[in-house]
Amino acid sequence: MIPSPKVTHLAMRLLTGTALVFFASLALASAAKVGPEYAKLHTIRVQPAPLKDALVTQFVAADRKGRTFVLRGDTMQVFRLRDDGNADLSATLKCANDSAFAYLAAMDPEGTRWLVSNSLMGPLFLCDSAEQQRPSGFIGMVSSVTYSRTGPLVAVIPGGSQGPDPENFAGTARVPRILALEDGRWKPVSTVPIPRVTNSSVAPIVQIKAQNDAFLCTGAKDSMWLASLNTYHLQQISSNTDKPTRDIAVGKNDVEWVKLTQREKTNIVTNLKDQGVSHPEAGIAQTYPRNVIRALVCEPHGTIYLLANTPDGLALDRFDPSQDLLERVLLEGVAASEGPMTVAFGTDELWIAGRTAAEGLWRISLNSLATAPWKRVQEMTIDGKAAP
Amino acid sequence: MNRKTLFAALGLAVALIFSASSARADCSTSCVTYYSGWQLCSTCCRTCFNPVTGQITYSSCDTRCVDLAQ
Repeated sequence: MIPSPKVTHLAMRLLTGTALVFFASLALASAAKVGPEYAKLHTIRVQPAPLKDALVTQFVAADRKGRTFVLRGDTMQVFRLRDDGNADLSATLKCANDSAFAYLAAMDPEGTRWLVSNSLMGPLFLCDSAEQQRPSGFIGMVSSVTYSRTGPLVAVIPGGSQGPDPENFAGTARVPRILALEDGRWKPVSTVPIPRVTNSSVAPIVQIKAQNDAFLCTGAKDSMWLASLNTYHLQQISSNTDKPTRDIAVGKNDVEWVKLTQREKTNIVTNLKDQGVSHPEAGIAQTYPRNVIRALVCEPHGTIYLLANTPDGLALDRFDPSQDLLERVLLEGVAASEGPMTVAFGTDELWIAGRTAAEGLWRISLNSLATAPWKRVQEMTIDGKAAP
Repeated sequence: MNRKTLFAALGLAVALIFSASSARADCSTSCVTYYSGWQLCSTCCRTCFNPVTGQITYSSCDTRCVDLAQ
């Protein structure tokens, strides 16, 4: 059948119109975005055979000699990472695991003992291949774990307690923020004022966790650094002062809340019902905080490195405290995990571990890091003021 | 990226999204003390959280407050 001239003309007009809209869209898109401001750094993804496809947590860490290890969160096996990207079993931790896999873990500088939390609420275990210890004195919600030169540290969500009575806290001005292990017991080494709740649409416990969740690492001379998970704040913490010694910020100060989709809510309800939670619909979260920082590591010589979610992709940021300088490169091929990631400095390489073993690990040679075209993060503020 | 690699990457992405959203929730009870306006409150909650993402997915709370002006 031969189409009529009227139909042919209409089709031609439609085609021409579509083409015009297409090319105009392309032109607008290219005008709006010239390209990423920051350079991209090449990374190599590896997936050691013992971790391949495992949908469980993993944690990468380096000892003081730069030897790099990865802990598999379900079996508590520790693997030494080899230069060729594979891994050899180094030890199996004698660590109780009553949950499916470890929630947080950090290795001591000797490379023999790990601090492990199996849950948001603890308890905290110190484990090596021979024994497990459970030090007393831990109360509250775990935010992150690390090791200083002198021992293990844990950042907690401030205000966490065991008691239901607010009267017990009426005379309390400050609550623990960072705990250290002293004489076999967790003791506060940094405290903060009792947190304040301002957003009435989010459950206080969810809000306080989101506002205070932070990575912890110790830098030169055992200086303590906290990086918020859900806003871009890197703070140097001192045990002697009320406020952070330094507060480096980029972007918004407030946590951004993302609404859960109906599908996500349905998944959560199904999951909770499977575990015997009756009528979970009434209590499920309606929002979750948008993640900003995905990992933190203090480099032995004092520079602090962060993985940050940016509009251009996952970035590796470095902060030099001696110059108050924050710089950035984008990481090519590294996907941001949905949970906290871990980063470690090996002898010749920087290692990045996805939250789950199935996501794999990425490595970057330290030579590449040293010669990368780092660019200053212009939006940075220090203590609320624009950087000099 | 060849087709095999592409499918492998897509499969992994789907598996990871599934794992993150369906990871077995970890439930326990905890309390938090905080200021709200002119009140000091303690809320004790049955909370469940996703051990992959670290997000609290469920909370059922009993909250008690005292007026600071008293």
